[in-house]
Amino acid sequence: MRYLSTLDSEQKTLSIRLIIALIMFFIALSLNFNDAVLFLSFFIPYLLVGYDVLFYAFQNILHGQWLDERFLMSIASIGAFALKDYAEAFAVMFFYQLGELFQSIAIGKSRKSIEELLSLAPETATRLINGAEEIIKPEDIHVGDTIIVKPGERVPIDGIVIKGSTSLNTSDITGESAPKDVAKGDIVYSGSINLSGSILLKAQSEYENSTIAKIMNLIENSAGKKSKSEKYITRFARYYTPFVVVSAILLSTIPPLVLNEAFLKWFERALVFLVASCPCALLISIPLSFVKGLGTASKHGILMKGASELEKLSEIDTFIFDKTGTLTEGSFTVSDVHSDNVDKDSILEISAIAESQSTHPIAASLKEAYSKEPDISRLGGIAEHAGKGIQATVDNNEYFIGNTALMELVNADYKECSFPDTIVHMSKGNDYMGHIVISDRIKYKASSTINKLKEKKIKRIIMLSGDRKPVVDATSKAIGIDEYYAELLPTDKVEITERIMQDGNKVAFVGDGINDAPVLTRADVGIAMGTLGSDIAIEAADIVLMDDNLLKLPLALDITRKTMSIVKQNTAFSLVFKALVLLLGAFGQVEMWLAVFADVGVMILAVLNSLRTGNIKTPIQ
Amino acid sequence: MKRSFKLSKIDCPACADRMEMAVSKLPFVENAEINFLIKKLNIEIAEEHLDETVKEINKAVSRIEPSCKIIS
Repeated sequence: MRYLSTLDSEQKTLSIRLIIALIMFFIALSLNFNDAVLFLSFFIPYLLVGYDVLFYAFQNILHGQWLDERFLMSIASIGAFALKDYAEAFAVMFFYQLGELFQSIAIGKSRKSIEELLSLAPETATRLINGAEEIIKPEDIHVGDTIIVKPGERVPIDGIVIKGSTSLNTSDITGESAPKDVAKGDIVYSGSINLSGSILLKAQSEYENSTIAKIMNLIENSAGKKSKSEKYITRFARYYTPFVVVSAILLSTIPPLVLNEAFLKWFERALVFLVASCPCALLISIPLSFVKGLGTASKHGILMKGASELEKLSEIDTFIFDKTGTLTEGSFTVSDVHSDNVDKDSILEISAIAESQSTHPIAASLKEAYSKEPDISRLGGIAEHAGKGIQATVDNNEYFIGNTALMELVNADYKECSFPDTIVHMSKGNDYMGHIVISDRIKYKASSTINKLKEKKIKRIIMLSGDRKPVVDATSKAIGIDEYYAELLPTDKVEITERIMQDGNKVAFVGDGINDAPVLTRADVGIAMGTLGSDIAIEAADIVLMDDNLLKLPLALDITRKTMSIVKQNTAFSLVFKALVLLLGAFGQVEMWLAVFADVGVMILAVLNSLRTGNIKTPIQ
Repeated sequence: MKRSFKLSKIDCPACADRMEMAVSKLPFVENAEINFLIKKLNIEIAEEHLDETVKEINKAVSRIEPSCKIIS
């Protein structure tokens, strides 16, 4: 009875009809009635289970759309009654309806996992206007509105904290379970749950551009897009049904004529053949497996754009990584200053003033290293030398700050640095002053991720970078990557990726979405990571990792491979089984109820198998 | 104009496929697409034909799955 309470009303009614009819059927079996009563004792439970099937089959004949499963089941069971095989007639209808019930329950269960994801969308938001609170729909929030988020509520929009502090549970959008502390000035993303204190936000986007709306979109669309194998199966079904019907007609007419046997005997075989052919069981387990796979991935903060992206990732044998921001933190720190004749502090001071107007990460690291507020009044003009560095006037002196190419340009007698880091050279006119060593930290999960990928039979792992060769070389050695290309321009990255794809490799490109959108699009699978809030990356990539935990990559690989292997198992198993029953049925070796039962059985096994997709062990930490 | 409808009941993917074909054959309807998992039907249609077409869609889908209709 507790089981019944999880069903919807339609499923409940059908369950009760099946139970009562089954009891009546066993009573009819155990009692020995004579002809007319015997017929009725089976016909009544038969009608109880199958009246709607018969009704709709009849209705559809009137509409001229007679070729569906209901028609098949009606014909088969009526045929069995005509042959005075009452028990069989009942069994056909019973098992068909039992199958429909199981199918409806299984679909409902897997829809739940999608609906759970879709329920992450906030339903209301509280806006503060002139000190008064107002409950509105998230869709009605405008950029600049002040929004209150109380403890326990879901953040309705992307925004900046303007008052208060709290910790947020971001696990629904990033898969990361540790709470995140935020305070005034921090950016918060919609979809996170406020755990402790009330905060005031200034909305930074319209709802339709917010993180959560983008995730919802991605989930809805991913459930809609069919994979290669799914498309194949649907196309297969379109030809399959007419093929089966024609075969059945031939089966019921040719052998009786050729072999001069009883028509009824072959008619019965043709019916079994028709019943056994019902393709729904096969069709159902495939989308189910994909939903399960996509849902499992989303739970871990891995958003795939659809079933076909999932399928493609499972076939990948080559990973190409962007270096900065993907394998390394992308946050630079000044680790040393080398100079023969100028003191280190004044080098840092001048570079901080010169770079004070720039937002580049390198400039930020220079400002940070100087630690005082640079005196901007000392700064005159700035000019940029693209790809080389800048030229700035500080205290009426001309300084050049940049790479070796810039030093060559001004004929400064520079010294190469032996450190495997990013080097910023500096000269006063053509008088060389020294250089600043800036290093980027390798993400601490980088080398274990690479190891895991190698364990998972990824045969080539390649790193691409615009950085100097010594830097890239040192990074690749530290992480354990054997193949790298350095000193690349963004267009070179596309070219190299294309070349590797032409060698016959299935390539996944992993980047942070900052100026590698073209490669993300070009690769077989583009994976953007740590991209909360980056539109370009979400658009260009096939798979989006909501945080920057590299270990999600081997996990994603596991999920997709497991999903695909289950899809293949189910397809092979159902096809072989179907073929066997069809063949045996055609030669009269299978009774009709067994054919229907086999159909239900295959479906249940396939569905149970596809539910396994969710059981992926996740050793992430 | 793009419109999307929520359908009440589709329990089998093959039926969804047949419904998709049936709806796309209706006059004025373009790019019919059924998202089986979230039971959503997306179509493109000229606004002036919307009302009559909704009725036609209901008829078409209920021929394939009798208790299926547009709920929103």
